[in-house]
Amino acid sequence: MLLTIIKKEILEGIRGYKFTLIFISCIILLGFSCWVMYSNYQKNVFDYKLKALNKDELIFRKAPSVLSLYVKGTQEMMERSFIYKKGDYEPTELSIGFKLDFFSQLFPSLDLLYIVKVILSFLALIIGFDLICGEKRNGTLRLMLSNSVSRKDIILGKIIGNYALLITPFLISFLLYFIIINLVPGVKFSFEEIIRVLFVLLSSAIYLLVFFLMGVAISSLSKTQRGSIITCFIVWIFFIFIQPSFATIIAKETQTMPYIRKIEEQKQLAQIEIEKNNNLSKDALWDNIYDKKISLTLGFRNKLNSYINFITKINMFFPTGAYVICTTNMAQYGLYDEMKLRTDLFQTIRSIVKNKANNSENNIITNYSIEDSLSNSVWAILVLIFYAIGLVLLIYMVFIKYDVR
Amino acid sequence: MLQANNLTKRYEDGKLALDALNLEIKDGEIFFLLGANGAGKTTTINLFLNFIEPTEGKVLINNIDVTKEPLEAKKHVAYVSENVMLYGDFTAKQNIHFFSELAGLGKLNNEDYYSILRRVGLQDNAFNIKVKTFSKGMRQKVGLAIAIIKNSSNILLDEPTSGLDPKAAAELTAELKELRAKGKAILMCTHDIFRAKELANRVGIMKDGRLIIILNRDEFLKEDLEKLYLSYMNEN
Repeated sequence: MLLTIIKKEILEGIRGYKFTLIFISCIILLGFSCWVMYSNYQKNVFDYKLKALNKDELIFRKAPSVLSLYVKGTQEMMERSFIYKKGDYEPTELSIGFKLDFFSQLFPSLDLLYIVKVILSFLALIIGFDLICGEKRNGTLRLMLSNSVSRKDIILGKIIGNYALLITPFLISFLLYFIIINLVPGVKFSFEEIIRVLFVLLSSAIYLLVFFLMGVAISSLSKTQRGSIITCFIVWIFFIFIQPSFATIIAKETQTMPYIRKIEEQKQLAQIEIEKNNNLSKDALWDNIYDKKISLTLGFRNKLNSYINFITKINMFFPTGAYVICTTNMAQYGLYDEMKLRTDLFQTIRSIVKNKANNSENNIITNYSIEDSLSNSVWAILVLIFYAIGLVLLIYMVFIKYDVR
Repeated sequence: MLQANNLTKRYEDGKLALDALNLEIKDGEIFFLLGANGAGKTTTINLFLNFIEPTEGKVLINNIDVTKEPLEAKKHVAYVSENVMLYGDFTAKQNIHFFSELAGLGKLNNEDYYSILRRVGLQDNAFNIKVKTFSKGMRQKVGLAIAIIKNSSNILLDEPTSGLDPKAAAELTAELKELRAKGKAILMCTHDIFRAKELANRVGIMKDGRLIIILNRDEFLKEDLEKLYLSYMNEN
């Protein structure tokens, strides 16, 4: 019976406008995203290679990853170039010509993460918004329930069939562009990167399932289609645009936000204070200033890391936050990756300074292993699964008592 | 056989929709339930189909308690609503195919579907057209075909003739006679006194949730059913 309902939902859905809308949206948006992100990736690769040619100074920069074709995350923060000149206390950031793309700063990047998080989540709600109340209004629900078919089979059949309609165009479009991008020169995914892409895909599928189920839940709680679509729209606005800023607001109100400007001032004051002491040798003076600056930087980093951890933990409780954390971690452009990159950079410079070394490999920054990325993402994935299961149970309980009159 | 024993339904708002209904419709019988809007006719159908649960009493289909074993009971009943609504993007054949699978019928071929659709009077050229283009009468025919193909021993009809043109209504009447001849127990809720006189074995008149009288065919043919109905309706 369940199969009969799934088949009916798919056949009916394929003929409807929603499926066409999703298919066209996926093909156009994912294709456009592929083109834009590939163009960015090319610029970053060129930039990375260009900087590496300069042998006179130590330049630190994370190599662009092919995963940035799908998830941008903290890429702009992480792929900045830092230069360290012998005798300096700390590295300074290099200005990069290619970042002078002011127009793109005005709009969010159209990566897979953005498309799924904002656009496809809305389409997922649209797929679900009239599944129950629409069928009640049409009168077909009464006819269906006049047969020896359980409500459990009906609701499961509707969920499975319509989710298949939502996810199939997404997967087909994704696969199509994945094949195309792999044929482009200069793009090569390693086995580990393919596994990471699959995890991004899996978390996207679960995230879309959560929004689709929200639509179905609203549909089963609404009396009319109009009420359902309005509620869906409000829910979408809340989860996509309002909720993510909650975490930052709560963090600002409850945590002490470290200000880099203040730390820099403190460093300058400390340096002036130490330089006043003329008894020290030149080397000892340098060491003292360096140690003081490092201690201030470490304190700043610790505060910043705990601030980021706080925001991450709050966001983790919501589907949008959990999805962003999960995908950015798996693509190695997450907040944890950025924290690790800064720590790596800091420790490398420290070791160079301490060992009085004057050369180093440019690319000393190591990425999280796939196991580490997974362990950083596991709670986020579990939160998404928890939402999906919770919503299925809610829909089931509401539909069991649903008044079909 | 359809049975209602002391069947009562009181809604959450306190409204008594059905008050101690006792009814038995035997195989090979057509029972017409007459009454004004809000008399409790549709509530009775909703209770037979387990769309709502009774406050008191029992509903039995072929001696199976509908409240206790709804899925088993619904194997033995087919339903035609006042305004048959189907899947608009499906053709008549696809609709009947889906509902026959839902009714648990084995593999049927196109010819099985076509013969049922012909039997209810649907034109051959309409079989493979999307039903969203159908008139109410055509949808009603497909609804009846869905009920017939299920081949259950009981049929519930809720105002099936409302809005039908005379030809379609006459075809429905002929079909119901045939179904009765095949031993089906049929409960038809309607305002259609003319159809009741033509078809019913027994007629029940409902008012304010109560079945106030049951008349045998001899009784309502001897008296003027319309006058009887109106006199009961006008009683306080």
